[in-house]
Amino acid sequence: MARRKVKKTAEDKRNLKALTKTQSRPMLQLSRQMKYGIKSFLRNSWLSLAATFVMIMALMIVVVALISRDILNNTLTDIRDNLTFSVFLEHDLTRDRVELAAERVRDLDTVRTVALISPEEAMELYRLDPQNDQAMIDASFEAQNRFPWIMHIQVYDPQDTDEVELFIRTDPSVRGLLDESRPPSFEGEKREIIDNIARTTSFVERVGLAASLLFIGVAILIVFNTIRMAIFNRREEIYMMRLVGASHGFIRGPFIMEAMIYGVLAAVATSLLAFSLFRGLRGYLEDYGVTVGPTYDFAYQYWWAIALGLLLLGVFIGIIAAHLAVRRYLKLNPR
Amino acid sequence: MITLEDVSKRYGGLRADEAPALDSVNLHVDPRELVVIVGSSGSGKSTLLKMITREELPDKGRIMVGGIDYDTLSRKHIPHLRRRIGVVFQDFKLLPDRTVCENVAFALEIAGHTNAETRNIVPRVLELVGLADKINKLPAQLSGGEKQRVAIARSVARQPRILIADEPTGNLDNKNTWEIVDLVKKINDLGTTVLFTTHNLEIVHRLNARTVRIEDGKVVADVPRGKVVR
Repeated sequence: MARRKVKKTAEDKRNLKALTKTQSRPMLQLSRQMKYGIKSFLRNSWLSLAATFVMIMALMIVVVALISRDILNNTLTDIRDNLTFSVFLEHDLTRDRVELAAERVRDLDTVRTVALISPEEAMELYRLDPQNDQAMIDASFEAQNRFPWIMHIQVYDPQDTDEVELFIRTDPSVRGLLDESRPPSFEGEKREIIDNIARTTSFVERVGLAASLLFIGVAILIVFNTIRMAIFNRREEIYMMRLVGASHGFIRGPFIMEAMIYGVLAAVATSLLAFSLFRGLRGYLEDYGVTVGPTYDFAYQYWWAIALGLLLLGVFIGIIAAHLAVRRYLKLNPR
Repeated sequence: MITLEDVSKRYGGLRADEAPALDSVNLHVDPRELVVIVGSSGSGKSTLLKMITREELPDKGRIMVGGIDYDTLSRKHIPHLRRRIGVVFQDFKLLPDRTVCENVAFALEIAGHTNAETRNIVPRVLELVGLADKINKLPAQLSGGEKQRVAIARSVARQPRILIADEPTGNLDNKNTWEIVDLVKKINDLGTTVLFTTHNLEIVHRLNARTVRIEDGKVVADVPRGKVVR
């Protein structure tokens, strides 16, 4: 049955004002809510440990996803930056003609740099390469010095090599200079590797995001249920709290505090675990040609920011879960 | 102090087959008065008390306590209202993992008393209920009567204007029952309005107070102090 609406008289207002006229001590009340939260955390230590462990897993997934994404991106950038392909020009061209052709290529928007190597320089490089046998060099090349001019071209994006190749094959100032016996190396194999890494990075990004969201959701659910169990265990206490005059905010406080402790402990544990693992795996990953350095340096320079981020995320998960659990309880037991 | 006007309550909504827990109850209790409410189990005694603590809302009627019309209360007022009312239950409702001292301090802490105030009040109120020597005991180390005295100490520590005792002797033997009855009388003598429910006529006679009988949710008798209750 609907309650009757009553228009408050001046006396009602006076009485209600007198009723609520108590000295407000928000800091004292906050400290008591914290005290109750800490006590509850310790009292339900096994439940608390389980909830903290799940939160560690969630935070760990987030960290691993972020680090993997950064490492893969750095590896990709590294390979892209070092990707050059070579165009071989006739041996007996003048430097001016070759420079002119190089200038034409350099003008392309897709080209980052163009470096020229003369036949003499090419021979010198060949000679200095310890892989090459001196007798072979002497026998095969020195007599004639038929090394070509070499144009090392670096592009911004491996996808642009097709465009550059087309230009070289069609532009009149370059086409006529090509050494027909040596086709340009367009690094087909490397391009394939880069495409693979790019695909992997994109996949890791998507899977990492999905796994992070999933585990954050799972962590919220687990903490939510842990807090509900804590509420169930302490329903008599909550009932008494209400009867002696605790507000909904005061009842909510200790549970939110308890869940925040899960978040703080999980963030500290995850930070230690993640940094130790990263340190341990660094050398191993670098042996496989993975560019770990920049991510590692960043992580060690800004460890406090990463730890703070994890702390905020853990506390956020705790607050959301506890808030939902207590709200549900208070909704089902409004008085 | 307490006024109920034409208060009705029916659990489970308005279904016609459901008997009302309270049916047009009218009751007025003066300040400092001790009123014993008697009635069999399920007669509506506890529902009446829950109306006063605002745990239940009436379907109909008006409740006024200490000048406050309950229809004017919003949710934020209820904790403040409850700090003026002490409640004691048959099953004590003590927190088992806290000492006697902590159980009593709990109510003061929630009401916002400072630590110094709490340290000052708790021994005095335990002295009042005769448990000063049990301050560091856990509820499990106390007898039933002692537990109920701790519950009373918790209720009166905030110096409420009203004490509601819902069958506080229901779980106690004779000796402890009389101790609790005498303690409640003492609290009433100190100026607190008391509502005491029981179905034990011996207690009614011992309290020698105004007695209200409830049956099937209705007030069927209101016997002034000094008259014989049957």
